[in-house]
Amino acid sequence: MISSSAEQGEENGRHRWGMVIDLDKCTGCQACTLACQMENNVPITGPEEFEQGRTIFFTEVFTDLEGEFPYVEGVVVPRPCLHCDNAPCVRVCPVGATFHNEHGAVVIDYDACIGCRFCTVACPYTARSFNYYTPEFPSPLDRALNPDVPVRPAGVAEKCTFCFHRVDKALARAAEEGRELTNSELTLLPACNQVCPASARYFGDLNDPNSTVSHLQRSPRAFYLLEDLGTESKVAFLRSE
Amino acid sequence: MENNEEKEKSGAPDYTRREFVALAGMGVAVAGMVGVIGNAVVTNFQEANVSYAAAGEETWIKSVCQICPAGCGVNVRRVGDNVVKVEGNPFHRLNHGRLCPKAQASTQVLYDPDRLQGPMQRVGERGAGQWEPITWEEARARVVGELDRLRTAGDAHTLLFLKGHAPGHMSHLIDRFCQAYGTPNVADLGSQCTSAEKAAHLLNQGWYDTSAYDWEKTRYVIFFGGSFLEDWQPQVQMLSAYSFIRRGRPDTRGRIIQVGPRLSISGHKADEWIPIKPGMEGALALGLAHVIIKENQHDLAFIDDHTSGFEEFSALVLEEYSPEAVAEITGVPAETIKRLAREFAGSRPAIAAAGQGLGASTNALFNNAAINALNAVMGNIDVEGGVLKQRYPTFTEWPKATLPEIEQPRLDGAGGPAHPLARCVYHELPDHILNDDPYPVNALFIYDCNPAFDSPGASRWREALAKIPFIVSFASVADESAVYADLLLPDHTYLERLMDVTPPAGMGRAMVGLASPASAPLYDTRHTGDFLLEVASDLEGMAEALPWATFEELVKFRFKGVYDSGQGSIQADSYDEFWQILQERGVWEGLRYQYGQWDEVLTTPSGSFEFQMEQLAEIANNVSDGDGEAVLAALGIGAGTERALLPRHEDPVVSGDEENYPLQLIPYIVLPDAANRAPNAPALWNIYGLLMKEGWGNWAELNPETAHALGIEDEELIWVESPEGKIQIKARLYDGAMPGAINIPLGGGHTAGGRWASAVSGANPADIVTPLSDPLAGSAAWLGTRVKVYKAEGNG
Repeated sequence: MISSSAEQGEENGRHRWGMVIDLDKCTGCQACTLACQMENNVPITGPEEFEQGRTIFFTEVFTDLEGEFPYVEGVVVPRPCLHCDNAPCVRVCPVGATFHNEHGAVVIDYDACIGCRFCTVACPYTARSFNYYTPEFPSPLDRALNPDVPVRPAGVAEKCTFCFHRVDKALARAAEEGRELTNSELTLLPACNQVCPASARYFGDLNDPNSTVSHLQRSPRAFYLLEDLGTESKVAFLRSE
Repeated sequence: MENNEEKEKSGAPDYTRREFVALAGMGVAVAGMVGVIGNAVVTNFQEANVSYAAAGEETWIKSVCQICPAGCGVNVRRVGDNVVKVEGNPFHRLNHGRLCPKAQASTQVLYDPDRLQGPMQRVGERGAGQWEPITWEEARARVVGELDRLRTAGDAHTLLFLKGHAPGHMSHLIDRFCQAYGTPNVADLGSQCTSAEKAAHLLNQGWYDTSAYDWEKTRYVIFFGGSFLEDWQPQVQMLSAYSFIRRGRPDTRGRIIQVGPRLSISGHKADEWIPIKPGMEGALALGLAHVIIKENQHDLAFIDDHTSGFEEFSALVLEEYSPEAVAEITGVPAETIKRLAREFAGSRPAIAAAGQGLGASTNALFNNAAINALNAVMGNIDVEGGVLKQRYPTFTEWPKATLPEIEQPRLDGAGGPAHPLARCVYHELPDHILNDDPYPVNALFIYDCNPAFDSPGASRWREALAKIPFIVSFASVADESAVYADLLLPDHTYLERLMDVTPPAGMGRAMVGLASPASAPLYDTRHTGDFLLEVASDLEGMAEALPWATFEELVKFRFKGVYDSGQGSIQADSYDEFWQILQERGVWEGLRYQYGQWDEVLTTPSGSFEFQMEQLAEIANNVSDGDGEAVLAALGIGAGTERALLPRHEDPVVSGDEENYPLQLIPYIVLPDAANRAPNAPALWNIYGLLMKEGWGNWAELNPETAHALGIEDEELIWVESPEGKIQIKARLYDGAMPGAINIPLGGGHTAGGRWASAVSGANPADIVTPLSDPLAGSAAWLGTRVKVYKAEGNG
């Protein structure tokens, strides 16, 4: 399966982006959450929106605690969009506004999105948000907007893009220099990965069986969230010991 | 003062969203290659009513994050004149290109819409928040006039300067300003967090600082108190170290233990969490030492070569701190104590690390000395994988100057009989101010802190602020303390100013970052360093001590010493070249850490690690004309007894009796709390309460059993009342809370500081913490308050 898609990838120059998050390294610091928001022009909201669950996080950290004092065991799991191959959000979109781009990332055409929110409900990982409000960046906060990423208007769904604007820019720059991106360069491309103080996040090409992410996804520690749903996500997690 | 916003916005072509999506996929890449971005993708969404301000050439500037004191290197991304993001600076070894979430809020600090936009003076009642704009010339004249009047009247010592966590040479400048002016009263925030750890090192090893640690080579770490993934300094180094200790080496997976009274994120992520009664961590360390010594696992070679007083120490430990006795004190089972001791001794190199909570009781100094002793027993000091001593850059000596003699003691009693080992006692200042004890405060300068909010007994500070006749605030936003000021003289935010930042102890090797301004000042603000130098030049006799016209000149003068040392990561043919490379890299670092330089690591009079802390007796003598025993006796330190100078367990003093105040209050720090550095950054409030999935306010955690006994349900409003006062807050049931304790994160309950800070709900636990101190070190006993808790309805 991997080799066949790898061959296919080599033929048409396509990548199949994937990610691995090592829960044994993750510290729950949430730098990923904010680096993502700053990179991707996520609108500024306040306590009311937060209370209603309408604050937008492309990547978010969740925790859980089992047991009773003093026998308690906690877990901390960061969750970006998992960019499923068999993505429920893509299947339910009535207008084809959400789709896999050429490198396998699940993306949204904000112009085509009709705001029905089927996708936000269909996603078993709650990775998709709906833009309930006209995005606001009270002046002069608008000066910090990243010109590489569009601000999404009210009434559309939005989510993690695997930072394709950063990835594509780096690919183009490497092509210009007549070379391929190395694994260590690739791994830092999404904003969440670049910031991670624990170096717990990896990014790369699952079409390349020798990439870091391919290696790690074959690790005995690797697992996928709600794997039995058959979503075939491209983000694997490495179990903590 | 340039404002190019309008110019930039005009001429931005309009694109439809569909065109934009296409461009974002392809165009950006093309634009990126030619080094110009923005012009192709600048767009204007009618629907969104948001325009892209940023347009123009992409440039990167090296700065140093100053949202917390750690000083991580940042690489600031600018598009045109706009700062659009900060990334980590890969040259800076402290964070090697990585950052924490607080740093990511930097743009929300720079572009905070509620910043103070220029100097102002109070017109209404004090604290009413009514101001009128003035010019910087007027501000300068008023400050100079006030200081001149005080000094002429012989009252120079009645100026109190709070300098918070002032970075690098801002801190040095403020110290020197105060020396040259003639006041002993400079206070930083050291007594709020690390001063007990520093004082313990002074006694055991001879130097006043926190530890550095060799995380990369260690195999086993016990963190005593605090939450190493949330409240550590420097934090990003710790986050990286956690990952490295576990997964950074192919053959070793280090083990990490968190000891503390609350299941923090660190407790979640550690290999093991050991719950313990607050303030009892030192006793646990002594229990481990007991087992290790009894089982003959201690490092005899290190003890023989580099320590003194071991016999006395081991006699005390063997007699008093058996696992059973320690289990009684700490609540940690005896079997666990034995197991931890064997793991610690059997997993060398290992580290016993002092967390924040360790310095937060009235027995803080001895708690820290116990940790130091445990490390010494195992020979973990200054070895690979052990506890190190931080080195610092060698700056040029200050120019010779005649400084006025200051006869008056410090207001807060630091360095005197009241607190012999303290350098400052921030949280006790209000009582001195309110009682004119030993003299009144006539002027207060507030830089980089928010005493009305961030100090135990914060309400006492508010009373004190109302009393002081002349208050100057340099804050960038009108926070809870600034609203009491007579003059608001806003500093630049960190991305607008030049600053050097020496990280707190952590790496071992010497290091200093240089932040270049990444943005022109947005408003009519002024570098507080420049302002103080101007004031100094106007005051007679101060120019000799502070001869520089600008802060940059001062920094350049001092950094010449680093260049002259000829050492470190920047080798240059001239100082100009050195300075240029420093600006380009944003950091200078010294030589690789050299282990075993004992004449630097053990600088006590005996040149050894002193289990028996002889200097305590000597310092007590020094502050009292030779009557040290009386000083120690007055502080309850068991003078004259055999154990007087040994690390040991002392029961912490707690405000509130157990009958009336049955619960132990545990205020704690969450990582996204940037205190006064970024109170108005909405992004940080969104991620404030990870474990509770809370944001925009704080809560009070109760163990479900404790809550049920009190009839309190989850999410119910409760009163939390201490002898100091009471606050209303939302209760949350949490299995990670100890029965009999109530945990409240610091940071909630703002009443000022901007639209978002003011929108934060909850309450400030600092308001109900009684400002007790460790008597010797003067450190604040954040964990020294008991409370009662009851439903809010009908009890208001």
